[in-house]
Amino acid sequence: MKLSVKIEKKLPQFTLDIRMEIDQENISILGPSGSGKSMALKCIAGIEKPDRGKIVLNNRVLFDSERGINLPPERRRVGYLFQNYALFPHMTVSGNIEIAVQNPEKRKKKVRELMEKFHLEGLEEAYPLRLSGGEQQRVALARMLATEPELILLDEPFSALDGILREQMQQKLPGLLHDKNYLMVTHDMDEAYRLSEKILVMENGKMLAFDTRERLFDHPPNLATARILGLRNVSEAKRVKENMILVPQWGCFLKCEGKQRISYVGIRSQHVLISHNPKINSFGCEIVRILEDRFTATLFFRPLPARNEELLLQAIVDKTHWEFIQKDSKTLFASFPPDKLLLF
Amino acid sequence: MNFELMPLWISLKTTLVSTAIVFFLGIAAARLVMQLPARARGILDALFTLPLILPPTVLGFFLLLLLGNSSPLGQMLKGLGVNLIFSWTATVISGTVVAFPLMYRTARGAFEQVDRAVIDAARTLGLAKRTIFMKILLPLSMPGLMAGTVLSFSRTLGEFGATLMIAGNIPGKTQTLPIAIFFAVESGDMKAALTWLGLIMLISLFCMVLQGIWGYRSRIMVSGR
Repeated sequence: MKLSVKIEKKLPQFTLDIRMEIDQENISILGPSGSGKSMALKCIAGIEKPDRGKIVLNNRVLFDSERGINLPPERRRVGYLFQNYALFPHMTVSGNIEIAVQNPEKRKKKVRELMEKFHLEGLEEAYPLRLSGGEQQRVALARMLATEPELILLDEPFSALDGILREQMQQKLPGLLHDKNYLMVTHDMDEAYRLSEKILVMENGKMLAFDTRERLFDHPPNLATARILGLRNVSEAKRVKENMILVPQWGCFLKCEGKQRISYVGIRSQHVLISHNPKINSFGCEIVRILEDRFTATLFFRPLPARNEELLLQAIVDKTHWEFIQKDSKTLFASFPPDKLLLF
Repeated sequence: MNFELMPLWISLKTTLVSTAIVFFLGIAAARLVMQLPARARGILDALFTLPLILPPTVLGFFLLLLLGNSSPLGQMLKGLGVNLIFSWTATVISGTVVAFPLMYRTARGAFEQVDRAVIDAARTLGLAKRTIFMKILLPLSMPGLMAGTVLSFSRTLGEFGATLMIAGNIPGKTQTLPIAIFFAVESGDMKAALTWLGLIMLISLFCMVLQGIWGYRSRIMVSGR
């Protein structure tokens, strides 16, 4: 599957502006709610019309504003999984799938195959509203695949599922899609990381970054991307020496090489080390608040000596480690490993 | 006796025929308007709703001007040997015109409340526009369409003003139940008036029951429950 997208569309709050080339990859579009990601998907499916641009799928022009081409959705061969699945409520499960099979001779056989593949046997005569969320999703996926689409678009595919079911579907989805390539929209960065090779980060209709998931998480190209990817500790910073930066807000100098012209420094909560022993780039800290999860704890701390009562940094530590250091009342130190600092 | 039952028979005939016409016309109009660009949609919507806003007598007067012998259309029809004014057909025309906005508006409302995503999904599945309309939009709008049909039926049954203007009060030909009631009361024939009154109330009651049953059935069909 080869897809090339270059679209612009004016929306009430902002202008949607997306450019991307995809070649045999699974992609996630990640962004906060209302960033225009679903709209981008709808433009590719042909449900919405961009103002300008070009969309080419496997050498087939789906949309080209200059040449006045705009294939309707029914001729694009693009499958779309809606957030609420959009099943036909007045048709049975098999009716829902059957109507999507184009070839009348293969209809019965194809429906049977899909019912089996998606573990829907026994539900042939059931109506969608009687099904559980997971079953509804499987019907929607089967219905979509019945059309043999060249590209699959998934709009927040797991948002209507809970807990275990969500994990199961995340794990099974690529297989269920016959390993066809998909383009998925989500606001959950873990989901994006799990299910795609490349991630496109969006905010207010603009692309902030488009890269492989590893490069994006390790070296986010800009601060906005880093924030969307979960960076919580950020401050203005100034380089004072080739290997030293000053972070006035945190009241410290930090050893750090790399990029010379910087205005911000950040570190992921998972990379902050909390211990009783000062290490490189350490300072004393006072824990203000703790948010405990089952296996980890998020510590909200204030660097010492406190200059700014408002300032709280975050560290995510292993629960066992936290229980261990809690036993000792000695001063705690937070340390920022130089290779984990992100510079912008 | 046979003669006395004529208004009932005329009313039922007129109402059934008008309702059938209005059913298809209203749905077609609603579909047409929904596909138009915003401005044209506004204009046509106002035009289609007009018969609901205008007093029936005014409407009847317009129809008289439009179809009467002195109008170009009337002349043309006369040339073809057709005279609509003061004929049974005129009762159907007035019934259709007054009920049309009700069917059109309810049909449009019913179409618009169908989940957009369901229609979009049907399009991405490659279904033809016709198939989407017949197999998805229409069945999902059925509760609304049924309500519109019953409304149209009741409106046509009770039609008085416009019908009197273009069809007149010809017993056995254009005298419908409401018109029969009016003239019975006017001539002091209370017994006849009360009989017609009872009949019309029976039909209305029947309509309400029908709407209840249809509404229930079609909701079951839509939700599959």
